[in-house]
Amino acid sequence: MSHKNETRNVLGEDVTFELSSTWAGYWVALLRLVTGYWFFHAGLTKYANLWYAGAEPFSATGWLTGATQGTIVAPITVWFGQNAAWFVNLVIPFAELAIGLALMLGLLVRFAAFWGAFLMTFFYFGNAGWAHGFVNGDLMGLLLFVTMIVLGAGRVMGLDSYLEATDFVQTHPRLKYLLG
Amino acid sequence: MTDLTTVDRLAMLLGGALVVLGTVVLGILEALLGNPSPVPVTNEAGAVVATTTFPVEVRAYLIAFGMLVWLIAGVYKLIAGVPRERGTAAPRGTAAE
Repeated sequence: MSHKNETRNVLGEDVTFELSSTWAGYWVALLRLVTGYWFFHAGLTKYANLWYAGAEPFSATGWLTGATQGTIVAPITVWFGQNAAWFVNLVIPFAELAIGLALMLGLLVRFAAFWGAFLMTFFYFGNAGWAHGFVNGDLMGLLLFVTMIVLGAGRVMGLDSYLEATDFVQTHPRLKYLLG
Repeated sequence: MTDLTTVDRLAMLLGGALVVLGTVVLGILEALLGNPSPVPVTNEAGAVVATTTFPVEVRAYLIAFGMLVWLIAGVYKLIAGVPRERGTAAPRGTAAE
């Protein structure tokens, strides 16, 4: 099936954007899969201590209280590092794993990608120094998650396309801002 | 036709402008003014040979505020809900709504 969206005016420019059954649709699905695996793998390896004898449990405490010093997110990261590091150490591996899995399955993609972008915001602004410039790998990762949200990437070859067809979502269209 | 709301336009223009200003515009200006690196450049002896014109904090805040505008627009759209005419079923595989 090839579905052609109507031509829309975007800030003064007419745009017709065809996604389904096209290279654009294929590319959106591929980006979703790769972005999902990136976070899934990042989360999984933080649980290395569960199967590698001698591996240290994941700890973000040093990053929170040290590496982020002097950055614009330091008031938040340092507070957490000093008062609730256990929470961050618990949440980051689990969130990365869950976000990655959701993106790979195309399930609740916008909701998952929002939290991916949320985490990447702290990784981007918290990595002090800017030695690699302001447009670096962290910003690219952040923008990938925003791209998943903007395009509703779960609707192309993802489980969200089935969920959105259900009567429940049709009668609660607001959910499309969490799915898709 | 267009289905952009005022919030959409504001998010696109203001959010995009702030992010592009913090990354691309000030980056190019920084390079033209003599230092392509966003941080001070030192030689082997550790002496600073090139400083930055725009503080990194200023560029970081510009980018962060741009993203904040996008976030607020996204949350507003979630709370405001889907416009009635767009709440109908789209063909499976249709993205970008």
